[in-house]
Amino acid sequence: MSVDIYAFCNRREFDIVNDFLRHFAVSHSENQSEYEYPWLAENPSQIFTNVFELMKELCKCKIQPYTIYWTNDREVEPYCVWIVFTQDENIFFGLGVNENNVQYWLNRIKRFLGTDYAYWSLEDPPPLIKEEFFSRFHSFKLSEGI
Amino acid sequence: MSSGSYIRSIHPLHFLTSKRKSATTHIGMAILLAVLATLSLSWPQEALTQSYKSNAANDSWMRQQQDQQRQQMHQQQQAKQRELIRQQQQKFSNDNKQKVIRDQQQKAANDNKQSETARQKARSQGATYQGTNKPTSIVISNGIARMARPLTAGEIQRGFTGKVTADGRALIKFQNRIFTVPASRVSGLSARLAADKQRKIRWTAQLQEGVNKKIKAIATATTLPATKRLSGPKGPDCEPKDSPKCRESGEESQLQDKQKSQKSELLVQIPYLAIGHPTPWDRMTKEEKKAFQHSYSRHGKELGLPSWKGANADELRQKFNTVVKHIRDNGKHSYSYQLDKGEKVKVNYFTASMNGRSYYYYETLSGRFISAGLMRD
Repeated sequence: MSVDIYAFCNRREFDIVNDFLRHFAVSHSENQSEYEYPWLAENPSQIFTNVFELMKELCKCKIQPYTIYWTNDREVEPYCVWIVFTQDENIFFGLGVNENNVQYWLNRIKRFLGTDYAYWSLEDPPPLIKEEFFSRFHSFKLSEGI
Repeated sequence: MSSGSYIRSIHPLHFLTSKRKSATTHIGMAILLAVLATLSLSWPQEALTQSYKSNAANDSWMRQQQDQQRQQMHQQQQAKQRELIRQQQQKFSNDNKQKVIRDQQQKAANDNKQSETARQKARSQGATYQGTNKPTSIVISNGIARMARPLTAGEIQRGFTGKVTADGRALIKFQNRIFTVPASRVSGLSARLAADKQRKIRWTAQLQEGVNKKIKAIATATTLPATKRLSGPKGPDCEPKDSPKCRESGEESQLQDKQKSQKSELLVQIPYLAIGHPTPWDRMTKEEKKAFQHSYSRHGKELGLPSWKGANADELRQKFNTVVKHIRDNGKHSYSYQLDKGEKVKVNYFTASMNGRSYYYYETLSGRFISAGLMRD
């Protein structure tokens, strides 16, 4: 059973995004070949074909939300990684892992980002603002005692 | 008898008197006798004096002993008296306390009677009874709060928490403590409980059957195998609302009847049959689009679906729904507890094997899709 891990990062910088991919998306490939910009727009103003160009743009224009996914080509964890660019200038990093190993990956991403703000849940669409993340984070902390 | 013969007969030196008769001897003897007499008489006096002194000391010691005994007895008597006084005081205090409690209870009962009378009077006059300030009336016994008087109707009405225990007692909050009273004492509660019970009975008996029929009707339109649906003329996806379109073919109807009997038991438990992401892309809210893109991006590849493309989102949605529906329709059903939005919830869980691999499908008990994908150990 696959679960979602989310971790919070308040530095929306391309270097961190790049580092994250080097650490966690070693054998992953992009899930899409074209990226409409802005995200989920009915009439996109721009189509990116290079994901790194898109991420650079998102790190410049920090209030543009976007979620980008990479899937693992090999059947090893993390099966899927994703980066959520929020509309309030933050980033959430996501990992799709087996629930049996969730604690290992949770600790690993916490160490990588140097933060305690990370939680896991059953498959759940990503939050798009900091408040939503922390609301889920606190619910998770409360439910840890269940 | 003269003193001379007495001396001779008893004194050990009496021979001297018989042998020497001279005056000198007599004088000397007299002196000697006088000295001896003095000596012999003086000895018992000293002994008596000493004995007297000794007796006096003894008397003094005795007196001291007696004094001590008297003092001890006096002290013991005083202690006894004090103990008696203390016991009497304690008894009096207990009696007093009991009396005070009795008085309080009586007063509370009187107050109740008075307030009830006043309320009745007010009711008869058509006025609203405001009540009076009542004493606390809570007695703490062994750490447990008990009411020294029954709660008044007003207190019950005001403090009713809306909760009723399984044994039919209403929970009342009074002065920051919870008390239970028979539900019949809460105005209108008995009627409400009876109505609820009746409503439940009515629901079980009448409505459930109707709902089951509706569910089965919808289910028959959506429980065709994915392969059949894909080869059909109406496309891979079929919304529950479009069910008449799905019933055009007689062959399909026969299949539906067969599957209806197999699935009916399960489907009764899952009234909401929105499998996967049922809303068309152009009618989705931003949240729904986000949720669908997340599901698709997370599992599309392992479900054998093409890469994500925003321009083809609705087509991808239909394909995704077809595959996950196939898992659900062919899967073995069980229940599981999973963390959903920070809460541990009971969910429907289906597992199905396809091409030698195992797939899962999760949904809430109300039928909201959670996840579907490849099972990896």
